Amino acid sequence: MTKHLKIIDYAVSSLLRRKFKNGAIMAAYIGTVAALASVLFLTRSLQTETTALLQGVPDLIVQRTLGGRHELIPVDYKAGMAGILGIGTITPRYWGYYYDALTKANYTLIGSGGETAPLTMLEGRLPQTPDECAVGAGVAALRHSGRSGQLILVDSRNTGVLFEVSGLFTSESDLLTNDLVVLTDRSLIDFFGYPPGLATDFAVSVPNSSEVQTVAAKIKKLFPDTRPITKRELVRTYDMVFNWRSGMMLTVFSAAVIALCIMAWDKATGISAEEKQEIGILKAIGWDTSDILALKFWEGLIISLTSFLTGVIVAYMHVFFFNASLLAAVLKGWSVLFPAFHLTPSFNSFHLLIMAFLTIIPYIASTVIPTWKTAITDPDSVMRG
Amino acid sequence: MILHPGVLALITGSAITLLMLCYAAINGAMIFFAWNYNSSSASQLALERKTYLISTLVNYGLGFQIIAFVLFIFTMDDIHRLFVGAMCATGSLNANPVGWYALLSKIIVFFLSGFWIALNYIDQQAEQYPLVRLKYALLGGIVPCIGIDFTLQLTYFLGLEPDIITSCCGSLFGSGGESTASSLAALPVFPAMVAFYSLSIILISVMVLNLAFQAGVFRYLLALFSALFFVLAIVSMISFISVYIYELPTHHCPFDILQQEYNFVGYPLYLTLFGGVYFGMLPGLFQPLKNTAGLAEIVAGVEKKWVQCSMISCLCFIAFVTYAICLSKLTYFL
Amino acid sequence: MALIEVDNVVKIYNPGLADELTAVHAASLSIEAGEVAVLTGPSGSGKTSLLSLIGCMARPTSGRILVDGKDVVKLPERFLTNIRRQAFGFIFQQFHLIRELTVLENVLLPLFPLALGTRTMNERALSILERLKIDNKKHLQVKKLSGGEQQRVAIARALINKPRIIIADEPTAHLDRKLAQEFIDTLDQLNHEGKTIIIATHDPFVHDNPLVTRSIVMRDGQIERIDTK
Repeated sequence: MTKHLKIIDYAVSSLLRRKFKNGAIMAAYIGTVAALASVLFLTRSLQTETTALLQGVPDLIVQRTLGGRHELIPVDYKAGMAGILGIGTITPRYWGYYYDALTKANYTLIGSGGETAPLTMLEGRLPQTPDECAVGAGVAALRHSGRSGQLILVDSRNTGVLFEVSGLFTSESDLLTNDLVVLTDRSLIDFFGYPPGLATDFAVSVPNSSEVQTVAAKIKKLFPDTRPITKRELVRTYDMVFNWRSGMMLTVFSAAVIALCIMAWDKATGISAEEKQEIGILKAIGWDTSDILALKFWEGLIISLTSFLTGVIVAYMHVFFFNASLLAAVLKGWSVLFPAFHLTPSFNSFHLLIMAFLTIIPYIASTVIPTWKTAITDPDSVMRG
Repeated sequence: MILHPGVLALITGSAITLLMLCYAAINGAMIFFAWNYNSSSASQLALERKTYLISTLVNYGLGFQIIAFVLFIFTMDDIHRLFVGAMCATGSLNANPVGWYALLSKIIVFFLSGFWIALNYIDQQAEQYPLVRLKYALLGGIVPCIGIDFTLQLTYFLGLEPDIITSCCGSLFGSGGESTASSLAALPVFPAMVAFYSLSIILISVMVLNLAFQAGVFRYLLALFSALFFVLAIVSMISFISVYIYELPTHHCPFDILQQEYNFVGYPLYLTLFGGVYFGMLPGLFQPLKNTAGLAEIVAGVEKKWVQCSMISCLCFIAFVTYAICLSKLTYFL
Repeated sequence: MALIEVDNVVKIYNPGLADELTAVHAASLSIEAGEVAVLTGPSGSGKTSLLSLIGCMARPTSGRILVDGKDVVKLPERFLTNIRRQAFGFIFQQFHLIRELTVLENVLLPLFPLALGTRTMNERALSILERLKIDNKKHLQVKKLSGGEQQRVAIARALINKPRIIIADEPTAHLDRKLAQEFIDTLDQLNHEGKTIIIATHDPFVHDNPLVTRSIVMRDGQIERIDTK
């Protein structure tokens, strides 16, 4: 132990004496780690956001499918389902997407009757008359329509409809509320021109969570053209998408890791004459090959850990202070635009372990053989000149 | 196939480890065939230097394996959400039964590499390389095991099909996992506890005997009981230790205790268990080496330390377990 | 029994290659404890090679070398290193100090792999530096020292392991007469303390010195004659 402390001591001084060479490898290392860590932080943070978003999702969503596509569901189905044991409430929901040509952004329009995630009203109240609406903070910022402002949207008959903004809201997750516009159910049906007696889908609450699967099965049996989606399934699918996306990104960045390893190999192989002589001296005055190997191991570990931590900090700042400006477009691209999107800092030890595994191990591994070649320098090489 | 960051990291790490150990084994084979202790030729000198390379590669390989083991458990725990009916890492392993074999092979590889490193250590203490052929022949046997481990892990990951919402009806009716470990979990608590503590007492007694006497038979007994203890400890972990830690009579997962929710209590538990069993098996396994010229003293000198390490580790393990049981709000017996 | 016994030793560099070189050919000699032995001969006669064989820095192609009665030729490298760091202290022609490190750090280097306490290490180093009158410069980088001072640091480094045998390769090559005399005086002192000294040199100032008890003359890799005084 004492021996290794001494060798670490020497490793630090040896690294400091070769600032330029080690600086170059560390810069490359930090860059690689920062790239990998940004991907994972961003994914993790988006995952957290979605989890928050999915908190407000009903236990069970019942959609109707026709020809394999999502269709509007007859409100009559509600009566048929009501008899199923275990169901709490069934609420028809009305919602749809709206592309705003003016701001080139997608909004989600939703009827105030359906259940949504808990919305925190910043100002005002939810719409109560058909010509009122409430908007999310992002939409408000984009349209410069604060409270007591107005919002003009073009409906399905291509006529402009004017809504009074009655309220402004936010919620735990920016993702959810940024693009949201809440109307009354009536005006939403009108706006999109939905045929009477049809809803977008049903939100079904099931008080006992262990019965969700059974209830879903019963609904499917009773109404074969429906598609019940459980909350768990949604969470799982989102997880899958995130993992897949970050996996893809990591695969792309693995090129960077390979480049780093080649560089590490190269640096470890092409040691300077001066460094080679130093190792010769150490061996001549009584250091064993295994001591040199230990020295090189500690040098590698110090470089790795320092660069790793620096890279992680750089990534943290990139993602959470600068909103992942270099990566965001790739990873969160399921929607056209997110106005003023802010990420909540969050990371865990699991992701740190993954990053350490993906960078430190390849680095250490790629220096083993060159290091050994250096370490077996003949002790009498210094005498032979 | 699941493109999860943890899965990618594991595959990368295992591939690197496998490559390193293959390279070590190739060099080991060269030594095995060309070694000539009495020669002073340049090629013999080169072989001697290769022994340093091989030791380094295997040491790093084992280090990587240990970290990979932790990452494997972490990953299992993280991906369970992707499978219907999976509540924890156990569910992820059930999602493709090859997972259990992958886990088992990881444990075996851990012990094998550990034994090899101990053998290498013994050989390095002797002045005449008495074990050089033996150890490189054994290395040639260990590397295929690591290859199998890599293949099993890859097969496991490739075979994972997440239950995601499909276009027709979702995966609602996908089957929930059948637990392979359920039979272990169903073991009655009281007999399992009695068995665990009885074996603990026997094991510690054998260790004391080992410290008091030199006879080889005690060393062999210790190796045997250590191995038994390992199996029984894992069974107990599933059967009752985990239950006490979770304070939930139905939760038997041996992996969740590694999570933050349970204050990472699993790490000291598994660390002391693996360490205790590893050191407990060494003296018995290396007993035959005492017949090799020049090794008797070296082995005798180091095996006492091994028994001591084993004893400390096992006592800590038993103490942790007992502490967890006493501290638990769950009580079976009053 | 002699402290060092060299028996019919051959050292061939790069055997079987185009640049094969027989550096030492069938050399036999023995050195008793407490002697001051000198290897002389023209450059390229194999002095340095024989010195590094004696100092366990290199292994002979054939023959036997016994240090303190122990055959070192077939020892695994880590045992050889052990003997090297316990029994020998080396002073090289070019000093071979690490120029960016301080005097003290250089002197401590051989102790790093030995797991000694920091306190013991420093005490030992300081007492040796004091003795060689270089302790006032202990925190200076070696590259800022003069040639004579650098040699004293090199001697201090050779002594830090408390070796029984001191090996010096052309120690006076870079010194003027006055410094060379100082060096000889230091060796004389060490010899009186019971240390065996082996020097390779072609400087007559060293090999004709009354201090020398045995002089080994080499030519073309072979020992031409051995004079004992």
